[in-house]
Amino acid sequence: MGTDAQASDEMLMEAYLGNSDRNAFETLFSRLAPRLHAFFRRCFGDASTADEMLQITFLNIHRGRHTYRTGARVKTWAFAIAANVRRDEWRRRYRIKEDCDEYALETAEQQQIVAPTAAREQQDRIDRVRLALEHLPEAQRVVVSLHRYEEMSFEEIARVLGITAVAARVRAFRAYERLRDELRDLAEQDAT
Amino acid sequence: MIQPTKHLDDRALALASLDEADPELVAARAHAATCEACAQALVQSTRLLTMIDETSEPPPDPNVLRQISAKMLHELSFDEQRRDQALTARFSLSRLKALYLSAAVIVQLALVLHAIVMLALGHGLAWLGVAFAIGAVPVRVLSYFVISTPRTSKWMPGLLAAALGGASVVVVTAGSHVALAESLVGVTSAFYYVVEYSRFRRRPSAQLAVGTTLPHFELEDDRGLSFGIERYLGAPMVLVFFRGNWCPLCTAQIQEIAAQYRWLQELGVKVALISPQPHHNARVLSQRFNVPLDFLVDPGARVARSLGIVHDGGVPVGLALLGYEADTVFPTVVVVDRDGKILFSDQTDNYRLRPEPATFMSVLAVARS
Repeated sequence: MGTDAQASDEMLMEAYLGNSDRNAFETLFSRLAPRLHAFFRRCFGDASTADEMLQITFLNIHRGRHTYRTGARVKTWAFAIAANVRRDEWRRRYRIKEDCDEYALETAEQQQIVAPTAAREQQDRIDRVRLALEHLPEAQRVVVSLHRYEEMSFEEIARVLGITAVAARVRAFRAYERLRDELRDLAEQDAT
Repeated sequence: MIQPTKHLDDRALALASLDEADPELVAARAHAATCEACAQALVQSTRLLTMIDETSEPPPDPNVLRQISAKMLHELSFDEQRRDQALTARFSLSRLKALYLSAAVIVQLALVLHAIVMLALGHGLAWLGVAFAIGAVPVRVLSYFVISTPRTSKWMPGLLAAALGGASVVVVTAGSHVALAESLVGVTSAFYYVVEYSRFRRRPSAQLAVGTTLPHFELEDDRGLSFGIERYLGAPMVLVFFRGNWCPLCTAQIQEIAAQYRWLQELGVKVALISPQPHHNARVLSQRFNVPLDFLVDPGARVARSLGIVHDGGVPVGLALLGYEADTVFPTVVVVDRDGKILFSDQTDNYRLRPEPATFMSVLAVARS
């Protein structure tokens, strides 16, 4: 269908839900998949985990497609499913119990030893920024990721992660403070 | 309006990341207008944000995207198929069977209560007989949940004796018509359970015959990640198809196998426990047993269908409330060698009779030597 390219995510979702429209699904997939993949890549740091998480997310999207409420923003809904997949994976890695919430995950993460591995020198700007992002606790990184790269508001991030908007904002502020600390020299050298 | 009480430097990046309209940012800008250092900090932070925004991730591998997309379209057509099947609604004998057990447990337990009340009210010893006759099946079935029972004897003489003995008491003590009728229901139910209900009347699966090679099929792990069975090849493997966590004989069978996992590990044997049940249930099992066995999911019993071991309408009525689908798999144990050749295949026709681990482990021991 030629109209798919202009159709909104929400229109495509209706076509996919109502008529099992394959073209609508494929267009929606081509819009969401790269974003979700980048999201997982930022969370977990490697492509093969991101590939797996992406597959699981789309299966969950498909099998849970009837939980989509008409009129809701598709992107928020899809990212909320992705955030669940991400949480399940961390839960599995930290060996914490089934059905933990986002706050339990944050606590578990604080108990893990985070060892920044970086050698600072001789890296270009992009690598420095990427490394600084990697050094953030994942609970903060996921908020930055949704805030900057998906341009979501704190309310939207809160809905995706199942936390309060205040908690999302606090995580973001802590993350940005850390980033500024780690990248201070970059900011200053660029300003001159 | 929020007044920043200290210089913005530390929080400059956080503030710069806010919406233009955010009162905190507006206040920060107002402050920066009067303070050179803070103004510069905000400018630097905006640049830093741009740098962060420009730090893109490499795009995903197009092949991976194509694979996932193809899989999703496959799911879509599978759903359509199933919807078409559902439209040609079926009333089958297996649905009647599925109704039997749920009904037997509920109705017969109610009748047991009735008999006990009658006995307590002094209506005669006949009601004790009724309690035994009508209680034999539901009490035995519920006992599976309490006492780990991977298998029973074929003819269950104890159960039949309890039912028949109870009925004899009713006859001997010349119980009322109601007592006689209830005990007759109990005896009929006991014989139906032992002789007919427990039998699947399944046809042996040609795909799983000893000597043939395991065909290709795809399973999902307990997260929903799918993969081909070939991933397991290279080591001998035990595949256990089980009906679901709702089936106490199945979980008892798994417990028995889990108890052998050290021995299985030493032999380098992989064990896959496969069921067409929701992924959540597979996770529950893997946490309960906490041994390195793989709890896998066959969504919609597709693999079971392709292997000819699907049990249409095999899940007892009422379990749909727990998220189980109506179709399940006939309990089946298959042992394959490292090349996927089938060495052992147990396709029991009676859900109460399942192979002992020793049976298929001896096959593995022979294959190894």
